[in-house]
Amino acid sequence: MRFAYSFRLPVTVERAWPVLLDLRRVAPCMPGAAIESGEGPDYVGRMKVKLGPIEMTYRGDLHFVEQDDVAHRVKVEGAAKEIRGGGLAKATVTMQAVPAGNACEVAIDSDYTLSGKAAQFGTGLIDEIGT
Amino acid sequence: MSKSEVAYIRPKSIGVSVPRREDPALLTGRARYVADIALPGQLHAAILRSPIGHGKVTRIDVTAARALAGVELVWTGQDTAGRCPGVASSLELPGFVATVQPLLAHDEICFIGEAIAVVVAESRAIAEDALELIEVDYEELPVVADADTAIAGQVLANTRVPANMVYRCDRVTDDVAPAFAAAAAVVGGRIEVGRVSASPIETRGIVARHEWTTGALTVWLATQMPSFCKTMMAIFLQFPEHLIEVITPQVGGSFGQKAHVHPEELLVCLLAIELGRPVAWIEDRQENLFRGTHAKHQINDLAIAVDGEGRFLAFRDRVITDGGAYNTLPWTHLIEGHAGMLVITDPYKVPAFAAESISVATNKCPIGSYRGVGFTSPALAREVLIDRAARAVGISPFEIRRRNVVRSEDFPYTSRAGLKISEGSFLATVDKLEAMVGYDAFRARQESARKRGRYLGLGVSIYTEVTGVSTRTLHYFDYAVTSHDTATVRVEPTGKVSVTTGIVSSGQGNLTTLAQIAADAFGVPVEDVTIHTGNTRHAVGFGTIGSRGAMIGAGTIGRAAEMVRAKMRAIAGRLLQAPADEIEFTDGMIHVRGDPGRAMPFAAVAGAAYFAEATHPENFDPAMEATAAFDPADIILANGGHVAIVEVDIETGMVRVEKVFAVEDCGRMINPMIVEGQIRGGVAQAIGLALLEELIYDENGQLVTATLQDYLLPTALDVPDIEIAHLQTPSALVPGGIKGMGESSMVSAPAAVAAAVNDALACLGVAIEHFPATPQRIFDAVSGAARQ
Repeated sequence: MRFAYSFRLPVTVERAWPVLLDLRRVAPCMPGAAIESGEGPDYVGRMKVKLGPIEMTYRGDLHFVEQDDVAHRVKVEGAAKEIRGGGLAKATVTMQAVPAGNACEVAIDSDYTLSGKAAQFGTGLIDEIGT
Repeated sequence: MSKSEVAYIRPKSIGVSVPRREDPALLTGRARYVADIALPGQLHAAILRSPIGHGKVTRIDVTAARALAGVELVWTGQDTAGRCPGVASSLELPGFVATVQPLLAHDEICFIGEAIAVVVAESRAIAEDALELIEVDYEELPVVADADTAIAGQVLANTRVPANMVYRCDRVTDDVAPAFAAAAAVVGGRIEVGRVSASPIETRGIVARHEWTTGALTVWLATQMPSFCKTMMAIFLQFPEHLIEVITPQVGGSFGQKAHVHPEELLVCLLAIELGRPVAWIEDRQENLFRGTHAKHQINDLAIAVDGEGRFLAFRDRVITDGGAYNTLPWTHLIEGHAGMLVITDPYKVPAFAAESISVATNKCPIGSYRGVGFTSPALAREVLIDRAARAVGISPFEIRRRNVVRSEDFPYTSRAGLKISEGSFLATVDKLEAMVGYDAFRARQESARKRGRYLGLGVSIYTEVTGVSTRTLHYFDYAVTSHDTATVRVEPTGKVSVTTGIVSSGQGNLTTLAQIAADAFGVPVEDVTIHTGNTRHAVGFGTIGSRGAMIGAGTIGRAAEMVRAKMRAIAGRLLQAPADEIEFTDGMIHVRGDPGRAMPFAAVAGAAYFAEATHPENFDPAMEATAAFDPADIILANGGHVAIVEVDIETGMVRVEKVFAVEDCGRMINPMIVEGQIRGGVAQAIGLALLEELIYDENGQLVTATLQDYLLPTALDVPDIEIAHLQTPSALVPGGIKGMGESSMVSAPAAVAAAVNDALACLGVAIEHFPATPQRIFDAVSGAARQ
């Protein structure tokens, strides 16, 4: 399952890039996400997801597999387990920032594999938010 | 006396649409199902199921689950392995690979939804909460998500099945090459019918109780095979069989899904024995879609060679069954493609036939039986291609069938696969259907609709239905199994009749139809008969499966009734002063043949047997009760056909079924209303199979259609007007001339719908070969053709 989206930041890519890579600062921007520990390329985090009536909390590892500070490209792999319920989630997330004048465009492309409740409880549910 | 003896029954109530005696309870909510059983101290089980398609459990921690208040027990595979190795399913065929499905997976997990742990608690809610506290780490293994990957054999779905090959067979190997070389036309395709679920309204369920005081194990079970389950429980659990009683309360639909021994059933028995308290497990809907056995998944690579007149020269079939991770008990993977291959040519004369069946293991739920079992998919492939052959040689779909069906002058006709056809009304079926449909008028309407951009299609299907699964049937399909059933008939002192049978009632109206049979066996009103069913104490049987209830009921009740009738004849002969063999039973009276005036009430003779020794002949045994077995002498074939008319919207890909016609020949009908109910229900399921229902696994073995939002069952809105006509060719092998018919619509109606969709799209050069024919598949095919 792929999720792809992009957003614009009103600052230069040079200024945005270090902040985007600081997971402890960025994670709270995402509702439900938190970094518990880690440094360098490896982190442990948790993420609460609500799909319609179903709420799931995943806990797992994040690992930076690729980081290019010149091209402003980073690739992160994550593997997490549902805290209650036994579902599994795997993700590969690629983030690419490109300058756009005084601003920058950030494109995020993520590929998820879900098992358990999230995968089974209605394709309609996931399809609505996926692409 | 032979178990296949055909007792004499004079039809009187048989043939009448007697109202169903089970309906007052069913319609007012008073019927009791397994989920209604509430025993003192009863506990509830919930099962943790694998979220991955293939892998291993590397760590499992149940500490927190065990500590939850209200939890009585938590077991993992380590706990069950020592108590029962699992459900072993094997056939004595060269090359067949048997499998053992553990009650709880403790080593390899082979499909999503496979049981990993069980919690028993004071309530189902607590048990489910405890499931969430079980921590499991998995090591994922590569997944075999489709039949082609399985056949390639590079990745194993189940490490105990070498090369994923459960069974490969080429039982019929005519040299068909000359026929194909000489053919005026050859039609062929790779026709796939997807996985479906029988989806009974009542899911699977069991309540088990073990009493230490008596040692008795009492099991309330939603099953079609209570006697078989009892024996398998005795064997697999090493439990004395005489202490097991399996009770089937009202079963809320089964359709074949409950014709297996499921691992959960053995598991719950073990739990009840362990805990000394009754344990209930009632499957939820999602579990049922995951795990309640899947069905029908076959890919038929079928080719038909015809001459210039549309006569069949040869069939060539290679059928692959995507059978899932394990063999079910007792059917195994062979229930689908292998069984289907052996009847794919019937009811047609096919002079040369070559076929190969391949059954492969995949990381999916095991394939099991569902109404029409292996026959639905080959019938669909065959009928779709016959219509294509008719278009190729320029004759109507009725005419091509008329030219090829087995005719009465061919009887007994033996198919190349070895099935003997001795009775049936194949030609009459074709003629009848054509007349009902008004074929020429339809073609004119189709033509004018097309001009307005509307695409109508007509599909025809003619079938044979192997009814009344018996020893001969099982042997024909390569199951080396012997089967028979028994019934006990007792005439009460007041002349009422009590019948005990092993037939399970799951909505078919057996209590009514069997009463009609018993009534006619004694010449008494149907109200004077009661049918007792629902536990293994008094009758044995193979099961209420494979359209066998009516046939087995008539055979067993007929034979047992004859034994009691002989005694009544002896008394009546003495009292009426006539030879016993001249005594007859009519309208509640017992009289001398040809002399209705010399008569006495049936009840009076019954009373005499019990209470008037002076009326007894010498050495008279007054037991007014007899038990008899029945197993028919040969395979019983019913036949008939369906026509579907559909409209395909080529913009949206949606199909609307406008009308379905059915012709049914199930011999002498016991109860026409019930026969028609079976047809209507089967047509609804057929529309689901052909257009809507599909269990879809993604490439990781995740079932992505695990709710009824995604797994689309037909509703009343999808089911059209159904016009039914009957032909009656009595069976010579069953009392009353009865044949089975419970599966017919699911054998044949999907083919009619599938062929109709193809007929609608043929003018666009579009063929649909993958079913269900969903809007997406139709849209893709139509837009693909438009691009060319």
